Amino acid sequence: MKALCWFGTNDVRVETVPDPEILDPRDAIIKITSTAICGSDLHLYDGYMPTMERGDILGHEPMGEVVETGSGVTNLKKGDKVVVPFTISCGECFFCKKELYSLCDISNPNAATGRKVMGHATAGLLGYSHLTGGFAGGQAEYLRVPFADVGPIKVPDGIPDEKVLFLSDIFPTGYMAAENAEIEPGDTVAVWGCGPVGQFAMKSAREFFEAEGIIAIDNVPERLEMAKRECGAETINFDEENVYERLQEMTGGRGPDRCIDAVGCEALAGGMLDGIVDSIKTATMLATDRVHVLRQAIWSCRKGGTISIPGVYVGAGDKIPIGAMMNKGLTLKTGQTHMQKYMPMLLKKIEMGEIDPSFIITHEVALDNAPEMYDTFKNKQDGCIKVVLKPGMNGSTAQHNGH
Amino acid sequence: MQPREQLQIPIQGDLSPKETERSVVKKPTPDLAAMKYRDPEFVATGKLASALGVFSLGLGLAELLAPQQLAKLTGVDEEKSSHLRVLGLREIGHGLAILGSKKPTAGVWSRVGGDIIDLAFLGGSLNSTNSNKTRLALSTAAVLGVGALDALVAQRLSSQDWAGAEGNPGAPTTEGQPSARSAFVENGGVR
Repeated sequence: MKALCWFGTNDVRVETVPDPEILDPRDAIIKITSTAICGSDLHLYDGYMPTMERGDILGHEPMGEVVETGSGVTNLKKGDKVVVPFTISCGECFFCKKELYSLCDISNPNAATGRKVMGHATAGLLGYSHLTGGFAGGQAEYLRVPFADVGPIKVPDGIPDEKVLFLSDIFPTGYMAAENAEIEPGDTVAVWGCGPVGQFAMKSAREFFEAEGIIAIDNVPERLEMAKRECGAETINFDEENVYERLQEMTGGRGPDRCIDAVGCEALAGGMLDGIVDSIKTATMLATDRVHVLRQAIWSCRKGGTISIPGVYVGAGDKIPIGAMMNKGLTLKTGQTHMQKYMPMLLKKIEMGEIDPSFIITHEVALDNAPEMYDTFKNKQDGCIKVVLKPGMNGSTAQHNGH
Repeated sequence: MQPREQLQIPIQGDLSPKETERSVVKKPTPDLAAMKYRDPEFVATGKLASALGVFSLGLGLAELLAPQQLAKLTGVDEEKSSHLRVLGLREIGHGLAILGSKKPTAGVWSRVGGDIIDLAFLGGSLNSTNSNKTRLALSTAAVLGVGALDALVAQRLSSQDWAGAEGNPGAPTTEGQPSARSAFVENGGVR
């Protein structure tokens, strides 16, 4: 089969690799019909994530059709249309029983590495480095799904892929970010990063948590435009305005009640000094994460407010203003998404017509075109916000949705 | 944007989440005692290990301070009671190893080794004309019983030795997955 494989920083290629097989009784094999490139894939593409190996298959936002199941999978059958979450969870351990699926104790075979790096190992993830298990990812024609009796969710045949694909990661991730922000009706929510997770966080805050004011912060015009159009946000372009000052101005000096960092470890700082220092430190291995957004969120958030971090951080960052955090009485909530907890409820919202997540898609291309789309997505060219890869599509029929 | 005070909207009706929205349904305040969850087997094994440590200390002190009486009780030749003092010192060592450590795994395994030495000592005593064979048989049975318990507890403690574990035995295998690694290696690492 064909699969998108990682060979090094800024080097991904579509290669022919062996087809996946059932390796454990609880496995299923999925024939991929749609699979997306995630913003967090760029952390791998950019070489920010340690423990990658050449030849690893990327991708953790897949959906498709079940073609084979192991003897232990009784809830799925051949022909079922399913969306596969990026987290692999056993469903039985202490954490899974508490619905903390991304913290599954069992699913990460490289638990010892996880303990060395983070104190405890977290769940195995599809296609996301050997720190999270080294599982082959879903930007391929076929995918083996471990613990398939717990992960994939069946979706109705009639519904287009584009409406349900993002149940695999970014929609639940944005929703959990809004939930973690502890939004009260009438709150003002500031969201750093208007990529797909930021968009779904804003949309969830507005539609499902009754936030009154949404403030979108980014420097990419079409992303700010989407936030304005789809989520009713006011916008701050950090290349043009001082974010802290503008936020205080917009909130009568109080600061936004809830701040969501949907950027993570590769924050740009619009030329601010702390951002330049971060870049030097990460380039010289003195730190792994650029934490400019987190600093700014702590600084800007109103006293007693909440900071929610859906953006992916991978290691250590410098000079986080913990004094401001403590003295202002801020709450910090974060985590990889507990996918299986949210997927059924959010599928219902899609079926009921409460939300159509396909608004985020800007590019739909064949799997063969994935390498150039990584480049386009990374460099935010061609208005690129979300790329859907279609393994069944012929390479020459790539299309641009032209939002 | 207006200041926060003016943004307050009057709350009408029931704003509590719908039953279908599993994630946002507020659960009743959980029982605080129940929140301190610890695996019952883990707790039980820890308690058993401590009990074995106390037993080691008690038996060791008895062997050290009253070897004559203990020899009589166990059926051992009383002339060999001085050997019991040596065994007693070893027994105290087990007790200290178990009770003095946060992780008693090695201490309990040392008890398993001690049990084998004790069995050998009792077996040797059978040849002695001054030993009480009935009492020796009962003592051997007692050591075998305690030995089995030691081995069980030690084995369970070892399986809880997460910090030393290399992998995650219950995890899905990653051997045999597709990847382009082999092609890369076959090409001699040439891209």
